[in-house]
Formats: sequence, structure tokens, C-alpha cells
Amino acid sequence: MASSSTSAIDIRDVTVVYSSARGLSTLLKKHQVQIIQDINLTIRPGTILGIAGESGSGKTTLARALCGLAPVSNGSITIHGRQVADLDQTEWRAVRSDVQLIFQDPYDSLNPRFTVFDSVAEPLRSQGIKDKPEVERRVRTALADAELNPDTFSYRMPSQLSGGERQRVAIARALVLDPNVIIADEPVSMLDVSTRGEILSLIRKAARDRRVAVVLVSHDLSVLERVCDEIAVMYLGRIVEQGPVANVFGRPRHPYTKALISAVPSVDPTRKRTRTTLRGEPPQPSERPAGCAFHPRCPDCDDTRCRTEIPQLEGRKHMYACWHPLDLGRENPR
Amino acid sequence: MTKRRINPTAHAEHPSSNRAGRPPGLLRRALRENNVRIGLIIFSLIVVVAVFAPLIAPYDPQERLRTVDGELARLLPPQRGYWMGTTNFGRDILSQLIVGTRRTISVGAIAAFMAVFIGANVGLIAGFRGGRIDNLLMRTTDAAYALPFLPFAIVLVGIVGRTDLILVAVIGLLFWRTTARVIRSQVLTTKERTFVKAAIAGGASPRRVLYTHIAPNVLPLALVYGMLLIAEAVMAEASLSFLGFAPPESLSWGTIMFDAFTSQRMRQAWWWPMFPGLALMVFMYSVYSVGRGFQRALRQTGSPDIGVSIRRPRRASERSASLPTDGGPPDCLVAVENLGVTYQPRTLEEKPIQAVKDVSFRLAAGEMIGIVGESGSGKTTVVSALLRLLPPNAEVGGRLWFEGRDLYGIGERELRSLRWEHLAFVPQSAMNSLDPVQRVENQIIEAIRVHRDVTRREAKDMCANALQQVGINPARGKHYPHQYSGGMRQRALIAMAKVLEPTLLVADEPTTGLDVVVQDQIMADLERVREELGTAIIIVSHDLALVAETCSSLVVMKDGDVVEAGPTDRIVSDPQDPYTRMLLDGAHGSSARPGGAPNGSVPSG
Repeated sequence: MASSSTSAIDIRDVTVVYSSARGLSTLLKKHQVQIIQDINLTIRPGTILGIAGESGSGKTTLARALCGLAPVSNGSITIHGRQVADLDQTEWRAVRSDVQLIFQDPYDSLNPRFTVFDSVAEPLRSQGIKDKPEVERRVRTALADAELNPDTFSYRMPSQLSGGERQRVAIARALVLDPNVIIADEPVSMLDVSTRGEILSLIRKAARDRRVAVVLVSHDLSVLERVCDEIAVMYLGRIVEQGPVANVFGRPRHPYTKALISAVPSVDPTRKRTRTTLRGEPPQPSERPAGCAFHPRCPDCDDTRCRTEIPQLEGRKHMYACWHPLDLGRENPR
Repeated sequence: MTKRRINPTAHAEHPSSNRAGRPPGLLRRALRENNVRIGLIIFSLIVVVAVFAPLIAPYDPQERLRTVDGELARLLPPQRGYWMGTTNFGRDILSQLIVGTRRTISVGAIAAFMAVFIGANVGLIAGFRGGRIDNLLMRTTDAAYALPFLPFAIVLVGIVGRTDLILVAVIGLLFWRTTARVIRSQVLTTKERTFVKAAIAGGASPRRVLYTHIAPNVLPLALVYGMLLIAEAVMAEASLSFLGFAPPESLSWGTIMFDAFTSQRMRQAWWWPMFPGLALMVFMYSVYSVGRGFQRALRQTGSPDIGVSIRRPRRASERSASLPTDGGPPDCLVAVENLGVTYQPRTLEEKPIQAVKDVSFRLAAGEMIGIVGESGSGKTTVVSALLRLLPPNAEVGGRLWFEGRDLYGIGERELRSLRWEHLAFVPQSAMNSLDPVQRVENQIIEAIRVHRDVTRREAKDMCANALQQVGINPARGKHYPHQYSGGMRQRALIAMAKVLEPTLLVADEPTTGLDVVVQDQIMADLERVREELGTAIIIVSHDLALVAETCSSLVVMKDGDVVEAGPTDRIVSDPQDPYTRMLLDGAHGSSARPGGAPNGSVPSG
């Protein structure tokens, strides 16, 4: 990823720590758990970065940190030239118009008492834009951009909409403030297969046409593969592999990425895939294994280095953090 | 906030919308019930009486009436002219009752309003602000709970004297506590909902979040509590007045009873205390039926789906018993013949929903079949019918054969003996399917011992074995479900389903909500069950690729119909229906990938 002065988001060494303790014991360091560690990412306007990983990998925490909903304990986040990592909730309100969110559950993300129009207009009104013709114009544009006819949909209630339509309303609401960044956390996982494609291409179109940088979080690799330009694969709070979609999915270097890919079912009859070699489930962030966090489940781990030293991200365009990266050509790396 | 109504033409322009218009409002939903209507009519009548009391009352309530022969009309029983009798001072009880309604209702309503106002605000602020403020407000609420009503009233009246204001204040200052608690807990729930998070992300100020987004979703509940509080407040006013705490010369239902009591004539003049008592009862009935009706209507808001309705017109089994019984049992493990399922409506406004129209398929022993479809396709209804787990308002047509038995021709007893031992089920939500207060191990052991005559020791071994086979360390059987991850819970359910070596296992969306790696492991577990025990498996899923990999045949469903069924290889390589093709295009590994990466083909692992 070439360093670019025009990046929409620049994330440097971001760490989020949660305390598992309550009351007085919050003062003790030992209850602190690092949910994500030393994340570095740059996203250019108009591109979509996908974040992949199992539950507990920290991908949702990262997304929440980017919009000020999770406390950043270390590192910096620069959004459009503005440092946001240490803003408090009140200061964040001023940045909100720049970072918008699309949520996972379209059935819960719209206020049941608001019409579609009011839901989309709400961010404008929250930002103090009260001029009626202006609100009306911007809401209609946003609805049209989300491919909802403003005339038919403006005055419907959420209960009259399908899941896909609700998610379109959520997209219109995210677009109405003309943000530079959109964070989408599992935006299609609760939708039917037939509507997923439409919603994904809508997000892609919004990114391209409006020059928005999109962070798309999903555990579903086929979703990421369809729309993303870049992929970052997370495991236990760290990025283990990162690069252009074609490289990461086409020639994975990290065994975890490979295992994730091989776990995706496929209808391709020519491809008889073998079951994943991974056993068990990721450990808790509070019980992070020493060295490479993936080593207890890794089929390629066999020396002391994997168990003692944390591998750092290496490579220029396609980066991976592994002591024994898979070779590009050969089937078996060792 | 601008309020605009639906433009009727704009609405009509959209014929593709098959959803009914706006959902009926709270009031309309509540008024569907007869006793709510009756309650509301009585309540309105009482209010009208209170407003026009002096015009309606036949006499001045304080007037000492005299009979035609000039005597004081003392303690006359109910009769023509004095419909509710008279008091020992010759006053007309009906008139007293009518005029007394005013004070009864107004003291009750004002006190209830005060209580709801305080309670709602305390609840809103405590729930929304949290932390120290929440703590302070909730401890104050606890203190209000600790105050006993009557002693508090007696002390206060003793200090301040008998005034109307003090009656209202005593009731208002004590009764807000329940409302505060209920509203607070509602706020806590609503605060976590996504649309509130969305409002915060949109830059809404805390005040706006509370009053624009949270309060309107919470306050209808305060309305219900307000209604119920009116009843409580009226009762409290009556009790206080009956005990003599009403201001002198005031007139309410309670004071009439107080007069009756202090006159020492209650035993002979039964009508004196009875009529105010009856009035109180009727009033309480009306308020409670309206309040409870609203409460029920509120509860319905969250679930517009008919599938969960309870009232039943005809039991599913009764219906199928009347079907012609031509043709014997087919020669396979499961045969579904022309299955149709219709959900009967619960109210007149709803229409029957035909969830499954005409579904037929067969399954041989040891075979694995996938039923694929999107939400609303009827796939879950098909397996619910197969398991006889449909809600009572479902009507089943067609035939369902299992091991040569007509599944809807056998009794509950026979069905129970089949379940689990022959016909096992892994339900959709592993989260809710395990008993949270029982160790996982115990749940499996109990299930075994219901069906098999084995000792606890043997059952325990069977359980450990089953857990081991799905990759759970048997030692973890001692743990409770909440100590398991989602994937482990699903595996525990599979272990539970397979432990009795059933001939058929039905898994409804077994991997929904799980990560790809865990999903893969679960599918491997199911495959192993089939290989080792020869169990036939039906997998219901929205993910075509997932079932296509493991199942030998597929049933693709859409809107209650089968659009395509047959061997997996044929359907994947040569789909006949455009819908199947669309699903295949959406699946991973298909060649038609819109906007996919140029070199995105996934290598084999």
C-alpha cells in the first residue's frame, strides 16, 4: 500500500483495551484485555477495504474504534487529515458527519416510529440542518442513490419494508451527510442471498461515485471477495495478512487465510475441496497464546520461534505475518 | 420534526408492495378485544357522569329529603324516586354517588398523572444517564417502596390536616415508583437497539437521542401504567376517605362509605355502603380491562408474523385424519406427498397464509438431503410438519410417511416414542435450545434415560462418547451452556440428537450465525454421523453451496413451492429454474460472479 497523502483513513498502531473487571479491580492492570493490537491500515477515497476474521478476531472492535464507539487506548486514527483517536464523545459529534455507519441488523436499525424520510433526515437534523427545502433535497438524493424511489418510499414505516429495502434506507441515511468514510459491519449477513448482491453493488457504487472510503467487516469471504479492493485478515486482534483481494484470496501466504478460504463451501463441481485442517476454535483474547497467536491451531507450526516470537507484517503490497509463509507456487510450503 | 401524511396517490403507485398498509395503531389493536371495548364504554360513561354530575343528579346530595307526609326520609330502602335508598339524614344516595364521582375521579386522575409524570421522568433519566445518577434515582425509588402507604398518609394528614391536596400528594408521591422501574428497564433495552446507536452515529445530541428516539418508543408503556395507576389511585382515595382523611364536607365514593360506617347503621341499611362499593368495582373493572388490553396490544407490536399466533381453528391432526387413505406406505424412510400447510388467521382482518403449497420428496435410509430456500420459502414449515411441531393454527394437507407410518395417523404416545429415538431434531437456535441452568451433560443423560432403560452410569458413558465424537472434551460436559461458544453449543445439540442413533436427523439451519471455520466443522460432524450410524439427514439452509457440498439431493423452495428437486450434481451443473440459477450465481465458487476479483478463484486446501 503506497503511502498516500490523500488517504481517507489512516490508522497507526491502534490498540483497544477492555477491562474485564468491575468496580475497584478496574484499577488492576491484570484484568485488562487487548482486543485489538497494533493495527496499521490506510484506506484511500473510493476504495473498499474488507476486514475478514472469525468472531472474536476483533474486526467489529476495529470498526467501532473507527467511529468513536470503542475507546482507543493507543495509536492514532486520522480521518481526512483530522486526528480522532483521543476525542471524547462530545468532540466526536463534530466528526460524525464524516464517518457514517451501516449496521448488521436492518430490522433493528430503523426507529420503528420514524418514516423512511424522517430516518434519512435524522442525521441532517442532528447536525443542525433545519432548512426544509435543503433537507428535502438531500434526503431525496440520498434515497435515489440508494435506489429507492423517493416518491414511493418517503412516507412508509419500517414495518412496511423488506429487509433489503430497510438496508437501502440505512445506506441512504449513511450517505445523506456526504461522509468521507462509511463503516459497514456485516451489512448483508441478515439478508437473503437474492438481495445481498444488490446491496453489495450499491455499496460499491457509492464508494466509486461519491469517492467514499468504505470499511466492510464480514466473516463471509465470498461477500468480501465480491466488492473489496483490499482485504485485511484478522486473528485474535492482529492483522495476519493484508493486500489486494486477488492476491490474498488467490495466493494466500498465511495458513490462517488459507484455512478460512478452504472452509468456504463452494458449488464449483470441478473443485473437490478438502475439509479445513483447523481444529477447535480461536482462544479468548484474555488467553492469548505466546508468540504467533495462531500457533496452537496452525498445521505448519513446528518450531520454537512460532511459540515465542510474534511475527510482524512483512511484504510491500501483499503483507503477511507468519514465520513460515506458504510458498506461492508449491502446494506444500515445507 | 415535520409530520406529513402518506400521499394516497404515491402509495397507490406501488403495486408491487404486497405488505398491508400501515400496521394498525395501538388503540385499534387494543379495541379488537370485546372487554376492552366494554371497559372503555363504561369508563367514558363514568367520566361523562363526573363532568355533568349536577345536571344528572336527581336531588341536591346534601338536601335533607322529606316524604309526602312531611317526615324526614331517613334510611329508606331503594325504591321509586330513591333508586339507591337514602341515608339516615334523608339524603339521596344516588345523587351523592353521582356528585361524588367528580371528586373520586379527579383526585384519582390528578394523582395518577402526577405519579406517571414523576415515574416516567425518573425512569427515562435513570435509564439513559446510567452511572451515579441512575444509582441515586433508583435508591430513591427503593426508598419510596419502603414507605408504607397508610402510615405515611396518616402521619402526613396528621401534620398538614385534611385537604384535597394532601390526598393527591400522598398518592402521587408514592405510586410513581413502579412506573419509574418499568420505564427504566425499557430504556435500558431500547438504548441498546441499533437504531439508537445509528442516531448517535449520526451525531444526535444526548437530549435528542433521549427525547426523539428513546422516549417515543418507551412512553406508550407509561400510558398503560397511567391507566392502571388511575385505578390504584381511585382505590387509594376511597380507602383514605373511608378512613376519614377526606376534607370535611367533601363528597366522594369513599366518604359515602365513611358516613355509612360512622352512622353505625350499616347492618340494617345495606344499600348505603353497597352502591358506592359497586361503583368502585365497576370502575376498577373498566380501567383494568382497558389498561390490560393496551398492555397486550403493546406486546404484539414486536411480532407481526403470523407464524407465532396461538389461537387455533382446527388441530392439524384432526384435519389429516379425514384424508382419504388410499395407497399404502411407500418403500422408503421418509415420503412427503403433496404436503400443504396453511396458517389460519387469528383475527378477521388477517388472511390465511399458505406457507407450503405442494411439496413432495422422498428420502432413503442413510441419505442426506438439503432443503434450500430464502426466508419465507416455507422450508422450515416443511420440516416442522415432518416433526409435527407446527403451531396449532396450522392446517396440514397431504401425507407424511416415516418408517412406513403415516405421521399424522399415529397418536401422541406413539409419536413421543418415535421422537429422538428414530426422529431427532437439531433446532435452529442453539443458543435457546439448551437449558441454561443445567449442565450440558445432565441434559443429554436425562434425554437418554427417558428413552432407554439404562443406568445413569451407562447413560453417562454414552453421553461422553457422543460428546467426544463431535469434538467436545467430555470433561466439559460438566459445564453450563453459557460457558460454551456458539459452535460448541451447536455441537452439543448434535451430540444430543445422535446419541440414540436415530434413523433420521433433521437440522434446521445448523450453521447460521457461526463462522466459516466452525461451520465447516459442524458440517463435517453431520457427515460423520451419517457415515458412522447410517442416519439419514435433512438439512434446511439458505446457503445453497453449503448443502450442495454435503447432500446427495436437493429440494429448492420458493414461496411455499418446490421450484426444483433432484440429485445435487444435476441441479448444480444444469439448473432448470431461473431461481435456482440465481441462487447458484450468489453462491461462492460459481463462475458468474458480478464484480468479482479477476483472479479470485479459491485454491483447494
